[in-house]
Amino acid sequence: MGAGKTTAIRTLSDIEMVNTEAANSERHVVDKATTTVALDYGEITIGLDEKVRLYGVPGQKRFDFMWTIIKERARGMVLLVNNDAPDAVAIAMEHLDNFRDLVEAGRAVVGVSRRDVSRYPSTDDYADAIADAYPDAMIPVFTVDPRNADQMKTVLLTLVATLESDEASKELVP
Amino acid sequence: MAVPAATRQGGIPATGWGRVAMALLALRGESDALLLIDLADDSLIVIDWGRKDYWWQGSTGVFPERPTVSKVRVYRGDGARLPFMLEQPSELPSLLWLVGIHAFPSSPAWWLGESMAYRLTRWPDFAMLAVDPDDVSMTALLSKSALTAAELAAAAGVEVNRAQRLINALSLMGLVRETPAVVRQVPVAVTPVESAPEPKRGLFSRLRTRLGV
Repeated sequence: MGAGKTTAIRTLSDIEMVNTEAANSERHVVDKATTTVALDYGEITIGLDEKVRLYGVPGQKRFDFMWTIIKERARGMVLLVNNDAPDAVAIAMEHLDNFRDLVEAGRAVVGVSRRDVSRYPSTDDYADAIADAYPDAMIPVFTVDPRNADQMKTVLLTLVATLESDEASKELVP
Repeated sequence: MAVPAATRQGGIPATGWGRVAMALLALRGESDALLLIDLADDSLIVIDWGRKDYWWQGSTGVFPERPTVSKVRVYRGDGARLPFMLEQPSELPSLLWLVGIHAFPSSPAWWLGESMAYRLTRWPDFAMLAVDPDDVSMTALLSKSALTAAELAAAAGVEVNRAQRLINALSLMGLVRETPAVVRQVPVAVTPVESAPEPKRGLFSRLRTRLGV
């Protein structure tokens, strides 16, 4: 919570983002007035019949039923982590573990927000933990500000590039 | 201690960012070191290698692609760190990226071997670097296969020099491993060129167009 998931989708989406927020009952955890209680939805229209659909799924355990639904349909994921949360790397690893199949397939990017507030852990700290847990995957870890359109575009393009590079690498026959 | 410019076979000295890149390469494996780079425009770059930070005093904010480097000084040893600086530092990878891209603009970096392929070992923090989508695409390819510069260029649809500069930068940042190149079969086209269908652009290409980057 508080990593900037809703903001990130709003930054990327072509449409007015659909979001389902309510009063935050955990102000002691993250001091913000509202939090996502179902999911956020945005879209990027590529062509007449093609859209990239963006789903922002809450990270609290009580919403884990949504993760199952999304996992079945998602081609990839972006995990946004709030770097000034206590034990941010452990939180990131816990969330990645909930989407283990996507991570093991290399279909994930991690965005670390609020590094301007808290410089450490570093992106290398996250990358080291991910490499230990998923030695065969190579997951990009980027410093991001979810309000920054250029950075969020880089995150999204990186995710798509990793999806397509799987196919490209199969064409290189030794 | 002043560091003379590194020279290649034949005594040709490295200049500009090439000289800086060779000095940075020499620090690999060191825990603490300070590197001071004086440029002819009177600006000074201070690199705290241990903290992986740098300061650029007198910078105009525009990265010079072909600077004149007046002097390079290095201070090694335990405790070779700056006790404090008045300004907030910048993170060193962003400087390594720019130096790596511009150090050897039309050739492999001097420290790279002949007939080698490269495989990514870790993604750079691209959201903090001056990158374009071709860099993202090429890096994704290197994350899945060991490729030579020519193979990478062909797979990404860019010029070989472009691919080489990316490899140079990733190598300077310590993010690729070198392996002997494998001779690959080039797929043979069986359809005459005139009747070959237009290749469908992948989602990356279509999304890139849509995002205007």
